[in-house]
Amino acid sequence: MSETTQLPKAALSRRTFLTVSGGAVLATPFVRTSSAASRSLTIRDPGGPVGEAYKKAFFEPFAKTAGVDVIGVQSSHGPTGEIKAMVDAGNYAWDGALLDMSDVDVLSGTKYLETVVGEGGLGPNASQIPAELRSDLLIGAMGYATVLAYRTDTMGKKPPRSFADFWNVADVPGARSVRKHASGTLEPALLADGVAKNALYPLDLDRAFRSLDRIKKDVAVWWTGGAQTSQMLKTGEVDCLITWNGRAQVAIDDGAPVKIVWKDAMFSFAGFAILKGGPNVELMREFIEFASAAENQAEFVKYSTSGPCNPKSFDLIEPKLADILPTHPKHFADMFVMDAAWWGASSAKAQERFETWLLG
Amino acid sequence: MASADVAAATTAPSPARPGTHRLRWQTLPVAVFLLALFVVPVVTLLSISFFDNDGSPSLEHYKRLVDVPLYGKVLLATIKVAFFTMLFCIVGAYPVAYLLATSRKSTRNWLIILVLMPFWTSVLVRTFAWIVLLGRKGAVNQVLTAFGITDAPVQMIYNFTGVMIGMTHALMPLAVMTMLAVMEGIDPNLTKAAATMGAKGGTRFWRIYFPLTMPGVASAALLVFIASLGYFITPALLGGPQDTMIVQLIIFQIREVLNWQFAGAIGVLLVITFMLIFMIYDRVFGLSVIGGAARTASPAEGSMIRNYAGRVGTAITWGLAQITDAAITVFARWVPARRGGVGFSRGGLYLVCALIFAFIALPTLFVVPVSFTSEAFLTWPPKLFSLQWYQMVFESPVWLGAATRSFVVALITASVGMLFAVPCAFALARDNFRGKSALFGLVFAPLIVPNIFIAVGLFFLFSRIGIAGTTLAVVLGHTVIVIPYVVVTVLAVVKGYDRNLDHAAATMGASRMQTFHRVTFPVIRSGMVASFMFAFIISFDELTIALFVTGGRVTTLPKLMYEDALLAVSPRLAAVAALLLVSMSIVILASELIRRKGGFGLGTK
Repeated sequence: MSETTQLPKAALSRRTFLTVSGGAVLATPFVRTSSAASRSLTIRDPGGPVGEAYKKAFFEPFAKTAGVDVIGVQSSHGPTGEIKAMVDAGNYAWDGALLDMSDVDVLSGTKYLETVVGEGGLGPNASQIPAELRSDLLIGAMGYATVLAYRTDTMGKKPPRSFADFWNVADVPGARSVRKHASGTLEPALLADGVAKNALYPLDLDRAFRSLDRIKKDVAVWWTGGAQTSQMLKTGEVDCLITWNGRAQVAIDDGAPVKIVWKDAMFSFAGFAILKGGPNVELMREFIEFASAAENQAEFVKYSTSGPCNPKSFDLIEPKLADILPTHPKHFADMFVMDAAWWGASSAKAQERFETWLLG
Repeated sequence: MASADVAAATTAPSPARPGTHRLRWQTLPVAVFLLALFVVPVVTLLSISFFDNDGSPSLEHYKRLVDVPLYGKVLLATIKVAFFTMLFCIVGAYPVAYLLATSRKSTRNWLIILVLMPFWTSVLVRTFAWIVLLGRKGAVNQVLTAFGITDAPVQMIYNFTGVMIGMTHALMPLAVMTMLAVMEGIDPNLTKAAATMGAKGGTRFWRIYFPLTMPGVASAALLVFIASLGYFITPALLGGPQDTMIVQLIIFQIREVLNWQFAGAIGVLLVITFMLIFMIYDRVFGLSVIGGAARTASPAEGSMIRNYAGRVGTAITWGLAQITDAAITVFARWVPARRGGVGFSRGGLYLVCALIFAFIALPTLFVVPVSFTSEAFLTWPPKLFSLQWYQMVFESPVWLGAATRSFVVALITASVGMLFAVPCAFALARDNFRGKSALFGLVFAPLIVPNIFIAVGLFFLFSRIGIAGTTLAVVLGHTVIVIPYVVVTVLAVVKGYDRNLDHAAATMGASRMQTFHRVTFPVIRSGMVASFMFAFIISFDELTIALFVTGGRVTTLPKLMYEDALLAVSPRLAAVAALLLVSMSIVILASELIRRKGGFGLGTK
């Protein structure tokens, strides 16, 4: 559903891609044997502008500590299709993957993924992560929020302070943009209609679409890619929109007059998961425990606008930086966590209805 | 070079020659290759749509397709987009191809660089360029408001118009190059002959030239139509809420909800729809238009419709000729043609083509100034001046490595594709043999099946034989999808080639090899070069298959650009696009220089 959206701060982005095994990329042989049960891990990350962050915060330190090779491979698309194909074919190009919490439910739980908890139980690092930000199959490493963001130059006098304001085009005028996707759109629709954030799930689809009816004609752009929203905020193509916090932050970092509304934002997290039946399950478990450590998650934040899932990380993050992170306690208290289980079970139906609604 | 029997060949199937009723060996490599790397993996994958999610045979997925109106509606919307894209591409590309075909060689090569420009920049870059140009706060609206032409911003994107602008722009080069290959083979003496017989400009064009270009128009139309059916990124970014393409729904099922059975059912629906359209196309125009009658010479049921269509076509061209002649006569009174100057109709052609060239080149040229911006976004006007984005590209081994790999992959893909497909195209164009229709269908099939199915199917196959995740896997996957393009373009060229030249050479004692080397090849060379370039470009720009069969282990340039565009619209994309533009133009110019020194070249005859 939603892609992992860690984004760089503009200042850092310039050096974030002097990457990978430069020469090795060129030298990849034509025929390669599939990853054997050696002391090396191949882990998928979403790549892109923060590709370097995964290496610096997780892969390289673990390689040093555990004395193994960690190879990061990048696939930007939702990786669930690849994982299904790999496990079904028994060809483990990856040992593990950075997954969105919703990906886990899409992969129907244990059918394609191993539990991250080994025989020794939950490790000391992973235990520090709040229960709502982990499961048997995925320990949260970083999290992001679906927020409302607006241009202060055009909407500064009458800023939208909630999704109810976003829906109220008459009193809070301005061009709007909403994601062309059910996930992260139905929740704001219900919040705007007066549903309390702790009473959202299971989503009342009828009510959500009635609410969307009210705003449909006022949505100037239905966006599809997150980068599009940064662009629109930067150029002022629209005055306010619903997007991921990282996308809005990129525009702010580049000098755009944009403000993020954290109230009632929807929180999602991502973490590392293990492919079912792969050759390096135990080593992956060690890696995941390592990636749960406060200092490693704090290191990741230096390159990205995702918040750490280990609350102890905030002891290590400078306050100015901590302020823009979604897991900062003052923001996090105002949010709700997306119900991945509901979406895993209902995504197909909800999206089908959403597409039909758009056509109608 | 061609003679009047080209016209005959386009309307009537060529008579069967003795000994042509057996399977041609030239078609074997393609047939075997596609059976192994396309039919088997894709059919295996699509067949799961006939099972329910527990694995027992069931039609439940097809029932859902029928019961939920969404899929039918989106399919219709997709066909509508493809149809209008085809229409605009043909109308826009025809005058350009005509201009190119009738220009001096040196001019033509410059113009070809211009036409191909959009191809060298990733489809994402082009789409974002349109957003920055045509948005509410975009460059065009800035100009309109500044000059007081409009009060409020004009809505040019995020609607059907936006989809049409993006898609027509993306596919027009394909249409131009396909038609050019045919137009270059038309003997200019034919229209001159008509002129000496007293035919006016309109008659010369509509009654003589236009019918001769029909094979090119028909293949261009078919290619653009099919290619449009598979587009989804451009409509998603430039369209409104109603511009959803069917491939988006398939990708949602494959990638987001992992319901591959249902995805397969939508895929089967798309394939069946396409086959229906293909049959209608065959009934109305005849596949012989694209080259080589697909059916045997028997006056089958279809020929009645086709004869009727032929008569309608003749009537229309006659009418157009009369109207054009009349118009020229009227206007000539107002604007007398100066002696020695550019003729009236040629002047009009220049004007129209200049506008179309501007449309083609604008978003591409736009990337050049933007690549020097000091801001972190693609914006207009750019804040100059910074070389940081170029620095980032050149300092990155990943980008340089990916560019090298994409180049090598495209080169090998295009070469292998030509090696397989050219002999097959010759056989399809010239011979009648058993199984020809089936072969036609097989060769076209990779065009019809959305790339995502080919990608997933191949991943399973490659995993089994242990080559998933390699560069070889990308080359093989790309070869599957370029074969149809190569066959169609080469067919169009071979179709326009006058075989009497070969016969003449044979009577002079030339061997078959000599005939091909000295007579046939020089004539069809430019078409072959165009076809090679298509294959190269398609592979160079391909994303889905590269992503899937490599599991992210092998990085290609489109993959990097795609990640960059999805995760951050950084001007680095513009820098990469500008670099590609310059380097590819150098390659084309270099090939032209080599040609002048007696070697190979582009656009030679």
